[in-house]
Amino acid sequence: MNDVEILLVEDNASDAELTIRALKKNNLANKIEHVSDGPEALDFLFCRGKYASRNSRNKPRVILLDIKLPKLNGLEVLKEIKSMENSRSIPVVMLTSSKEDPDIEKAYSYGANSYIVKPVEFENFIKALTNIGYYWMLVNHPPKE
Amino acid sequence: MSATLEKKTLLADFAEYLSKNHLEEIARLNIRLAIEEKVPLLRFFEGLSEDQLIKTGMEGLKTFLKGLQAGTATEEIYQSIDNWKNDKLPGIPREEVEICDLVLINAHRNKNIRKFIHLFTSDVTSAIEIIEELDRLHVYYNNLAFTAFMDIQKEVLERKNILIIQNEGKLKEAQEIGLLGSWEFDVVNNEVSWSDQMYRIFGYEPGEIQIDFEKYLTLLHPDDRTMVSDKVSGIFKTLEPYTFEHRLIKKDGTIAWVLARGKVLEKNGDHVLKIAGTGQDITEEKNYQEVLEKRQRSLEAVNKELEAFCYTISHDLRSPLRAIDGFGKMLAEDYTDKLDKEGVRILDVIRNNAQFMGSLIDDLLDFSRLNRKDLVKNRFEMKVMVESVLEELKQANPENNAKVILKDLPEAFADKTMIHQVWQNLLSNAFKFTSKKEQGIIEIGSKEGESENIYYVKDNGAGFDMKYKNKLFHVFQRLHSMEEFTGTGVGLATVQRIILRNGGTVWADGAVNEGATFYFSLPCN
Repeated sequence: MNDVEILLVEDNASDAELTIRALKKNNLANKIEHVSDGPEALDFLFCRGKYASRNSRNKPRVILLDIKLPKLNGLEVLKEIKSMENSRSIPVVMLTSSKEDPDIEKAYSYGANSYIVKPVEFENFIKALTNIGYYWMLVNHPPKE
Repeated sequence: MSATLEKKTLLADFAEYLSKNHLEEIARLNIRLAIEEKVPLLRFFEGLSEDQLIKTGMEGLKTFLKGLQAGTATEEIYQSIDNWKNDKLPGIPREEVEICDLVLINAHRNKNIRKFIHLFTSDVTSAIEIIEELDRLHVYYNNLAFTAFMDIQKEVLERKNILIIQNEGKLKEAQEIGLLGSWEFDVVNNEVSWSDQMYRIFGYEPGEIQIDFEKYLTLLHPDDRTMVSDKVSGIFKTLEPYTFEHRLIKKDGTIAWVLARGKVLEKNGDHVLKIAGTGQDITEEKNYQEVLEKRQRSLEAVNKELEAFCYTISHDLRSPLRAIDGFGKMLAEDYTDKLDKEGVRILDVIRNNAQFMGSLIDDLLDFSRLNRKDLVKNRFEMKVMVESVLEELKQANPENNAKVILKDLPEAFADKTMIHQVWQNLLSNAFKFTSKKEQGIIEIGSKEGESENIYYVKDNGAGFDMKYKNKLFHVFQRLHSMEEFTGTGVGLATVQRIILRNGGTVWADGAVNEGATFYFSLPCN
């Protein structure tokens, strides 16, 4: 099965593990694809490089995108996603460590759909993910193709 | 003189007769005549009534007649003129005495004394003798008075001259100190004249070069010549004064900045004949300004760096903490059966500390951001703000049962968001520190002033020892252990910084276990 529900773009392995665990524990997603930098995320979405054999019709229902990433940063990846015809409609939730992040505003102007501040406390992290996850996974259906 | 002595007896007798019989009468006649003929000296006696004037006149007349009796009239006259010359007249500055004062007063006295000669003697020869003698004294007096008057005027003029010369010197000095030169431009003859300082501004000795308008232009910075030429010739059309800054090349090749001012000095209809103005060397000012601008730029760069630094801290410092807390939680969830009670407690301690460090970072970031945030001052209802903060706090701490007394508060003119933060900090402190009291009481009030209003939050909570009051507002300084009351030690430091930025001050009163009062003031406007 190639069915991916969530694409997580996160370079910090611990954060990634915590996020995946939280999502699974709350039954938000069974199929999570984790990539750790921007180019890999784009390769995945556009079925390039090591994802060349992937079925491009299987789009993630939501992308969790860390703002701070090596190589291409989160904003650049976001711009790319929102500029391409076949990825534009996928909701993107930005992940950031700080609510004062000036990049949040920029992210909105580039077409981000929401953002989550990754709190230090695990419980709050789960809560934030759950809220946003339920919303995007269950309520906000992506447009039918 | 010897003549006077010979005739002394007759004149002396007459003087004695007058002193005894007609002193007041003559004085009265003198004063009436002086008033009638508006003797200028009378202005020094404006406050006196006529009777008082006559009394004063009698004193003078008595002295004069005594002199005649004693044959010392010339000496008396000499003495009185000398007193005047040496500025010893009571209440009358010597240079204020006018020549007609002397002539008139002397003439009046002479005239009025003569009126009594026929009462003294019917002998014509004696009468003529007396008149001759009086006339001689009259002339003597006038001569002395004129000479003295001239001497005084000469001295006054000299003093004025000295002052003028001194002032000229001062003007020059002022020009040099103020680096201010002055110039005149005779448009008709194309003649330019410069003050000494004007030459110095261009790096020349006074008079070292011949100057006309064309020459002047060649001394300017090449990039500014057209601009200066346009501005100066503009005055021929507009007739309006101008002010502008330009550069010039000094004799030694260095560049100087000058503030040029000019205005029309003479014109014929709309036709300008002469313009004049000043040039002020503002090179130092300009250099200083440049240094300031540079410093400003580097400050901005530092600020940007600081912001980047804060960004890094908030992102990079928090993620390991998140891992500590998150993986601790995983351990607690998945491996509790393998941990004993102590193991679970230790895990708790680890997680609590990670979380606390998270709040420390957050608070510190908020605190450092305070200085960089722009102030946005507005007028707003303080009481409404306090009510909403109280509501938030009550919802967040439903277990707190402190009694809140909210008095009337004057409206404020300050940064609303920041002041909101102040109340949040002060009030949450009040709730926190009264939480262990059986009945906590929190009072919020104010004192209105003319230039500033004072607001306060008073509680009956844990309070503090006044000897530590200086530490209250320092960042990370806490007066209670974490076991007693939690906190990061940033709240009051934040309060102080906000109030200072808004132009007010913060202070506190308190005693251990008796509560604390925190005051802050804000300017009314």
